[in-house]
Amino acid sequence: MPLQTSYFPDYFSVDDILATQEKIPCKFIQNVPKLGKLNPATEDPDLQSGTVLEMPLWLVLEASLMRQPIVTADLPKVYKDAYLEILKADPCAVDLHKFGVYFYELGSYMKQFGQNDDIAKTLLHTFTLRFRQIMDLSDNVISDPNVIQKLDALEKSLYESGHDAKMKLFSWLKMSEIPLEAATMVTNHKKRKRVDEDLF
Amino acid sequence: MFCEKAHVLIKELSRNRDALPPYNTDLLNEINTEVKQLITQNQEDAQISEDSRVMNHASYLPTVKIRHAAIKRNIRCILAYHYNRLKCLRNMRWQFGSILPPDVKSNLSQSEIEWFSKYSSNLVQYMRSIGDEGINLAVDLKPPKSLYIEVRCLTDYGQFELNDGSVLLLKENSRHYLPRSECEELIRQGVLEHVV
Amino acid sequence: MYVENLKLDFYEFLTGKRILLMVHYDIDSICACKILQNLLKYKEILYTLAVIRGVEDLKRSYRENSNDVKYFVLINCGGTVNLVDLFEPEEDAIFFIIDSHRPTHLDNIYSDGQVRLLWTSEEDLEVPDFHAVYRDDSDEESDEEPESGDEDEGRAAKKRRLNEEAILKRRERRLWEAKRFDIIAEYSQYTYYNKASAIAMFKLAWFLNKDDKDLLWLAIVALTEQYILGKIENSQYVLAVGELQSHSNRLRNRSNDTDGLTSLRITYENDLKLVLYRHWSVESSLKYSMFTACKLKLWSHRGSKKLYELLADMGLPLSQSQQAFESMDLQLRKEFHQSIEKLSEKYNLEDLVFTSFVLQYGYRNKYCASDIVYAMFAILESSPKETPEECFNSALDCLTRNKKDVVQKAIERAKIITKTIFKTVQAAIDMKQIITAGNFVYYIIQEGCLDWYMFSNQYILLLLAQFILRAYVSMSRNRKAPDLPLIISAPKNLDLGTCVILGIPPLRQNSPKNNLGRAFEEAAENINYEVLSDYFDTSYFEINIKDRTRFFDALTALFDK
Repeated sequence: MPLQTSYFPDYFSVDDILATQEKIPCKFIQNVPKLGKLNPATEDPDLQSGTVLEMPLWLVLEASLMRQPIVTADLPKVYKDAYLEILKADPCAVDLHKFGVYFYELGSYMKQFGQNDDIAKTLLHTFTLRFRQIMDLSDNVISDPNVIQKLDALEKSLYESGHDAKMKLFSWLKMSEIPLEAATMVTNHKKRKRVDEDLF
Repeated sequence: MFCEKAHVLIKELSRNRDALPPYNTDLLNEINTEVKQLITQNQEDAQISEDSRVMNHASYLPTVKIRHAAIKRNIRCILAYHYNRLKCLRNMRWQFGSILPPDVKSNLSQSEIEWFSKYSSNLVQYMRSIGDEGINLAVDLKPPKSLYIEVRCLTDYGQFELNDGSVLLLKENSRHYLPRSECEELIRQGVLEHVV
Repeated sequence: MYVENLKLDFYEFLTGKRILLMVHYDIDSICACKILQNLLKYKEILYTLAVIRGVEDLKRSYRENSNDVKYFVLINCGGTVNLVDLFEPEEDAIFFIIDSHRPTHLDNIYSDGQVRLLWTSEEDLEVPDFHAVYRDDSDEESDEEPESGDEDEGRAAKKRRLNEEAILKRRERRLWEAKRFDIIAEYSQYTYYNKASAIAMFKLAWFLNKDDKDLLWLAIVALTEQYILGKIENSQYVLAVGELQSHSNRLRNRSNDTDGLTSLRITYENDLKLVLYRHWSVESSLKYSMFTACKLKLWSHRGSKKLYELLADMGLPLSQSQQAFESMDLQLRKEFHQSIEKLSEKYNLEDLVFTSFVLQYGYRNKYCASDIVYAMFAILESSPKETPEECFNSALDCLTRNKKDVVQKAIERAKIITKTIFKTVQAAIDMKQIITAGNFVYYIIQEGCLDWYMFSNQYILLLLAQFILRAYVSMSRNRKAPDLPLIISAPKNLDLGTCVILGIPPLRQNSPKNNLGRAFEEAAENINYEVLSDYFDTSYFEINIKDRTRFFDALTALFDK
């Protein structure tokens, strides 16, 4: 009985925390005294207005979406037009993992920094087309690791649950009796133990 | 950079999705120190800002805001760390049963152990309260085809007493034909394997 | 004691009781065990299954379970040893034995209820009469007690007379004992096998009206194993095949499975004595199979030429014969049986054909009984690492229909084994390692030999022994060659420094009755050697490698007598 972690907008979600840890380029539009250490390029104790830095998304979100923004966010290059064009052309041919492990999550944050709704549309387009491919993939019994590697985290989790369901269906169709199984955690625990034993 | 340690903590969590790594007291302490430091610094700078408002001095407000964001982030990571560990622990109660393997238990913090035993006893109490005699919700997860099943023993478990009082020896690789209800828990615990 | 009514006194008797199944480590036992497991399920009889490799295992598993279990079913083990002596069981323990090993121990036959045999007395040959081997001693002892008399004068005379009587009695007793010894010696002279236990179990299933095609197939596999290993005489095999064929006809008609193509089918077909040829290439199978290899002397250069001649005569192109049988042209595949049968006379390959069964299910799965037997040999005996229990489990898997990958893997291993056996024979002939020692032939597998662990197992060693003896006879100029038994020895356990010795009867004898076990025992007795042997089949023997030369000398002396 898996207790799934709901994803968005869960305060405790590990995936969201990791996605908001991605660094995005931004420009400081106010002087920030004493925080010069954020910019490794200078010795200056203060952070001057006009500095361009890569900051984690969580910080950028806090510092830009306020009445008097401290920074303005720029788009990471994979969400800029050149890359969006690639995705529009043929999303299925792209190695999305290289675009970013949390491509969709990050993208849905990025859409508010874009000029128009191009990012949102492209994300949707990409996902819709690639989803079919994932369905196909998870229908196969034998998985090709090369293809799986080209998926981003969300796609991978979709693939895994799809594949899992397919295998369960297969075994159900094949067997008349459903075998009782050891709990997954127990099996994993045993495997891990075996690995540990091999090490020592 | 802010919150680097908190990031390490969360990465550790994400690497072990369905297992518990040792409770990372050291790292948590370090994050704790970082947060305290940030708070002190913020208090000082806020004080200065307050004092110097009349003098039209450079404002510390952005600094304080950014530090505050870092504090919030750190706290979020720490809370997520504990929350997700508890979730995993709750799963373990259903999968391992009320007794955890010793090497899993040694990875828990004291309060986690306490939480686990409390959760366990709450669960038992709840299960006992259903119906007249109570229902064990952890068994019969799959519809049975027959009352008896063939099982293979995977470890040297030792003596095992059946409900009717008879005793049998569970030795590694031995095969037995037993009532389904009596082996289900051992199967879940990985002691027996169901042979179809 | 024989159980008269299996249904009442065995099957229904066990209902509601917990039992321990002690199953010997061989194919027949596994099949029999599977059938029995199936029957036990209907009555919801709880059991524990223990794998038995030898007498030691039997004792250990009894010891471990005797506290909890009172009813024991022994499959293919225990019939030839005195169980009561071995276990020293509690009064209420009961042993049911189904064993194809012969001769059955007399104490088991004449047990008064603790040991119960699940076959009929007709299946034990030449059993001595009860009174010829057992004798009530109690009344004699009372006779020997001096009688108290009143009359003084008669006492001396009476004493003399009593003494005379006692002497007579003692003499008579000695005679009886000598006679008894001879009777038992004659009875236990040969080791041989009865019909497969799985067949007996299948009959029980039939009798209980719980038989089906799956169970029949198990009985077929068990019978085929006995045939391939030469455990039973040809005539016995033919009779049993006929019997199983009628069962297969009956079950086919009873089937309620309407889809004829995909359902399980067992058909009675001719098979060839070519190992796994359906899953191999024709050339390899012809080359490595014992039957063709010995007839055509394929280990020599001339032999392999002859093989190509045969293939040419059959009209089978070389490229076709070298590829997997499944991928051969359909026409050639269909005609393969006929074309080789037609040529059998020319190439002295009579008896190439034997009758057997084929199992078919789904569109893609078709196995000969012999395919499964070879696959199971591979599982049971070719892995140096896995424990017997693990092998036993995979062997059970090999017999279930939904574990096709297990069968396929095992067939691949079986090919390697077949090749290894052939190469060992070839090497033995080339290096002239098969040695004639007066009245027997022997061959020793050296410790350094690659794959020695394969031959440390009972049945692969037996296959090798038969191959070697046939190869030897076909090569030898010695006119006596067909009359010589073969003794083969292979390392058993390198750490303990032990080796296994197996003797097989001469070819001309044309019967699997084997008296070499007796010879081994006598030879060991002559050199005062303490026997380690753990086998139920006495034609296998185990000694320390360092004593082997001494033991062979003793054997030579014994055979020269």
